[in-house]
Amino acid sequence: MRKIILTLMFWLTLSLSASANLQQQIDEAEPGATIEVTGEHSGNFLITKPLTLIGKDATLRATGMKPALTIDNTQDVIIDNFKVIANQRGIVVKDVDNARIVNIAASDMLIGIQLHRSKNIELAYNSIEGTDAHYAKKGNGLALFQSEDLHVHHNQITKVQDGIYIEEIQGIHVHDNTVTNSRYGTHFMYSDAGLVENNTYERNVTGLMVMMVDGFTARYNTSRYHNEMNGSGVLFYDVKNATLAHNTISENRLGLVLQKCDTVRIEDNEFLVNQTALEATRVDDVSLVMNNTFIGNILTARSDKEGVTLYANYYDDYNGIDADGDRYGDTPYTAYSSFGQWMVRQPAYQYFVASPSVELLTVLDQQTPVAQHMLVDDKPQMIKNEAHMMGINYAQALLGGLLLMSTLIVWRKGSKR
Amino acid sequence: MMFIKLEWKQMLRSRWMQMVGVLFTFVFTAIVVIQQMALPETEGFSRQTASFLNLLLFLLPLFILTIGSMSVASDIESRWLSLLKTYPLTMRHYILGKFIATVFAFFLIVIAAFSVVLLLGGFLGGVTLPPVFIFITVASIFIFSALSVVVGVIAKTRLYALAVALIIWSLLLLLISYALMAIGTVVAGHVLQKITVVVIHLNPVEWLRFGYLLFAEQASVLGPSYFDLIAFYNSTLGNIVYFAVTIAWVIVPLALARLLITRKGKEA
Repeated sequence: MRKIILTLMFWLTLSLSASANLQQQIDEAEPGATIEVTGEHSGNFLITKPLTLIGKDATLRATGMKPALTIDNTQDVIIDNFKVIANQRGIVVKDVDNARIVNIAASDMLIGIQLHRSKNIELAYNSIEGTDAHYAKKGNGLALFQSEDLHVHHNQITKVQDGIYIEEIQGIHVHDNTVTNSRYGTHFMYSDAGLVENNTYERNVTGLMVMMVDGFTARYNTSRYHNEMNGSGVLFYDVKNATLAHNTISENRLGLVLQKCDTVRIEDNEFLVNQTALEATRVDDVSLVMNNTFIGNILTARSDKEGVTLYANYYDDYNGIDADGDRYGDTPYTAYSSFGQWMVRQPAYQYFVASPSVELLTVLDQQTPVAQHMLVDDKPQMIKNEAHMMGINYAQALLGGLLLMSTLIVWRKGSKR
Repeated sequence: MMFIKLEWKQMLRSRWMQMVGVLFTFVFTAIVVIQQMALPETEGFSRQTASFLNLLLFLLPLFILTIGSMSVASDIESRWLSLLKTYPLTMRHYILGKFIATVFAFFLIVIAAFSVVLLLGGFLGGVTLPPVFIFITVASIFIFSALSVVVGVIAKTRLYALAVALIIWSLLLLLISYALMAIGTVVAGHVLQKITVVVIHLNPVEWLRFGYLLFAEQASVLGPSYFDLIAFYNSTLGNIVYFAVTIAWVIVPLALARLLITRKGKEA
């Protein structure tokens, strides 16, 4: 009997769709009802009861500066498959328990989805695109405040201030998101028990920014192409009890920046072709950088005088040998570079990075006594270096051959008596 | 024209020039191929790019300054220049001839090196020689060929020319940078930044390096302290200024060389 009533209710609500005013439909719907929405609806819609809104080629357009949709002081809400157009905020969720907001496409707004004081919220498969304005004039893709148990996944976010901004959240799982061309990919502030995995951050100012957090894990993320003036792949500031593992951090100005960190473990990550792979200042001696792979970085590590503990990492510029066959180098690896230390103290020195004079200086550094105890890895890993063989490029080889022959002919002809 | 041909022929016949050609090609190819095999492909400023650039800035100025200056000094020392003066050849043509012959000879060396890189790189799946890198190579040949002519004119003998060339090379490549770094330990950061900006314009090595990073869109590698400088040189006006200063680095040494050699002739 209950089933029949529910089915009747469903068909009744369905028949109302698209014709009546959407806010009226929401107000008139029974708690727990499902409304199927089609077409474009202008206004500032408000949900204050358990409800499911399913869009079928539907658009919510905000009027004025208010959000297109506000979900306030309720529970069990599902918003699925809407295009949202707003001047300021697309969707605002306040004091809600248990909600799913999925398949939202928002563009040209200030903030995509904003969340306050809510619990058990899933934000997934949303696509948020900001504007080309300066970061200072943009808002965040997903702005999450003072909430608990959030699940944020498979979102595509671009051209916003911070892709996913997380402040005072207890328990959040952020995974499989992609954030590009923004200020920070994911920005954690005062939020504990966060897990960030399988995300991709590209061409932001900083990929993953974690500030004032106690208890945090980031793993299997990719952070690359962060090469702006202040760019970095991952930055930890005032972070305690955190783990950064199995991430790929490549082609950034600074790969990983650790500032004022306690009990941080950096392990099994790949640092590839960064300008500086690791910068550490005010890091405690319990924190550990171990089992990472450093390949093709201009400068492996730089730090303040406190340094950072390096252990059993692989460095492609390590010159030692493994005579005893224990898979570790017999002599320590020294990441210390005078120039790297100067850069930490005085940013103007950065002009000389990788310049001919500094290259020579770095070679000389290896001979100095100070190099024996700062940024030293006593047990550098020895890994078989795999050459990148990619087959033959016949066109290029032919061009090179022809060019070489022509050069030699010109040389010979030119030098004939 | 005849004089250029003659100079060009002499340059190519020179054993030293041939050795330099082989050495440059060997070192350049070795570094490119080893890095190609060892490092993942990248699109930004990497250790591979830095190696290319440093090799270029280390070797080309050294070879051009020494060979170019000794070529001019040899003419003075052997009195070949005095003989040339009896022909209808002005000092402007002499200076230009020396400059053009040096430029062409080094073009040939660089093309040989690039072609070996392409040839071997082709067997490794292909290497990339960015257009900016080629542009900076060409610019460095022009600038240091002009400078080498001045050094040759200043020197009285080949040995003297070699010594002066080496001093100038080490100053431009290393000593000025080290002096700046030392100054940075006693002055404030903004002062160091300003001195560095001045030095970028006054040191052709730094100018070329800065140009490479600028046009390869990798200038952020220089850090936030140079934001204003980079922003200016990324503008259209900045681009024009860059090319104007680069041309000045060719024309001013050549004009100076002509002035000095004319004065020397009068004194003689």
